[in-house]
Amino acid sequence: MGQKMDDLSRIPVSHCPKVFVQRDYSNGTQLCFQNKFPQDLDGKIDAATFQETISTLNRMYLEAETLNSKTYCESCMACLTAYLSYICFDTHYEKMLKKIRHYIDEQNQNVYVPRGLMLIDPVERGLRVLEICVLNDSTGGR
Amino acid sequence: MANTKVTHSAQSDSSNGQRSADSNKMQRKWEIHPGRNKFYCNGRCVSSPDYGGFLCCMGLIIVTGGLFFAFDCPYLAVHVNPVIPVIGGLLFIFIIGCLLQTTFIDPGIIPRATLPEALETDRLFQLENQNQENQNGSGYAAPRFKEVEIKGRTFKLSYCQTCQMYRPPRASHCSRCNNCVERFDHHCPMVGNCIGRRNYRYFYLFVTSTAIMCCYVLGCNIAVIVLRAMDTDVGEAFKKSVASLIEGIVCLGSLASVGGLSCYHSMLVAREMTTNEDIKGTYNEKKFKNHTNPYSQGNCIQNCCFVLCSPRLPSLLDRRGFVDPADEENQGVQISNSVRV
Repeated sequence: MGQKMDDLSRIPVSHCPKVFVQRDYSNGTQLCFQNKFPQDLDGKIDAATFQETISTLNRMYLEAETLNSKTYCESCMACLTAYLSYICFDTHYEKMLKKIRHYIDEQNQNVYVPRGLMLIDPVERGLRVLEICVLNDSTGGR
Repeated sequence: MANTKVTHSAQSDSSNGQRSADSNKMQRKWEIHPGRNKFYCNGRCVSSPDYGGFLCCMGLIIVTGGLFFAFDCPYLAVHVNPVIPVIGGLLFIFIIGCLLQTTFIDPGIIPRATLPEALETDRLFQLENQNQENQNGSGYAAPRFKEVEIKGRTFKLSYCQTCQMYRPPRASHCSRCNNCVERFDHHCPMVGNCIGRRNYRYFYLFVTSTAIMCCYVLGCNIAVIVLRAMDTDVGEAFKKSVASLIEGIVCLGSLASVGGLSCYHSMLVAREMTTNEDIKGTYNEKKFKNHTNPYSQGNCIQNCCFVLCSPRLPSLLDRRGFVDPADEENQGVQISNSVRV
């Protein structure tokens, strides 16, 4: 598994055509991507699979950002230690980002790369867009 | 790599001249950061280019705190209660912790768009504007913006020419640091950083706890002088407690500025607004008809919890990541130069 993931990261992505999924701001600044199926992906992947991925991602981001008892305790703990605890511990958000990276890797492995697509983790693009690379453009656009 | 783009290499050559000479080591991303921020500890800490205000602030806190612990605390611990220095010490540590967090963490800088993303945004803009330009025909380039609806209210996202993207809602470009910052509050020269989404809570706690500390020290000073005056006469008491007098003057001065600021920011926190929005009057009833703040969580207690306790967001700058030599987006010319030499 780990070996395969390494292979994925070596796929050159700087020259291939890209599709961008923009942020959805209708609920405020909460991190959420637009669930609309982009036209450019037509014929490469079915809409249901794509939307399933996006809504799973959105759900995970929501879990990372919402204030629940666990994150509340975490913030209060950090406050009591004059914010020195952040040096030692990973925050809830960071753990979620790792989870999301795993999920994206797994989705790439099982769903997207076999169809000639690849998701780029939004963290690498400042959480502003979800970038999808079209690896082998069958229309010969390259 | 036949890259002839030499835009950013000139200014950075001087800063990492000796670095490229001694090694072909991988370059970290903070070294090619396009903004004006300063980085410390190999990219772990970020601050704005000017740190004079921070040093001044820190000096004032340490000197006043030092005088308080050296002269007032021993007297009060013996004559009143040994808890007094303990409370003072805890407050002091808390203030220093908050100040360091405010100054040295990333305030929420939004990384600039990569080349393909910027091209895509451009392409969409051209497509959209083709018919509009035919209509007005003049060469006047209107400011670019995109409209989004947030909880029923329409907001304009303006395009940032420097960062080559539409600024997310509440973000603004800091001209001092030359970056877009999320939930931009203001650029604070006193703490030497922008105040944004990531460090607003530390800034607020710093200001508030400093105000409390000022009151506390002031109270202790008065107690010391009064107690000494009761032991001996008034003139003698003042003569003995010169340090207390100095602290008192500093604290009164700081309290005048910090106290007001603290009240103002408490109001903003309760309404979940930023200074920037307050100045612009984004939610002003007189300026706009539909004035409600879409970011408010409901009531003021929920707003306070949200601002002070919501999960700490990760930094969007991958400062310590290595520059990928294959990545053309990251001004590949620097790397190709150092390899060739």
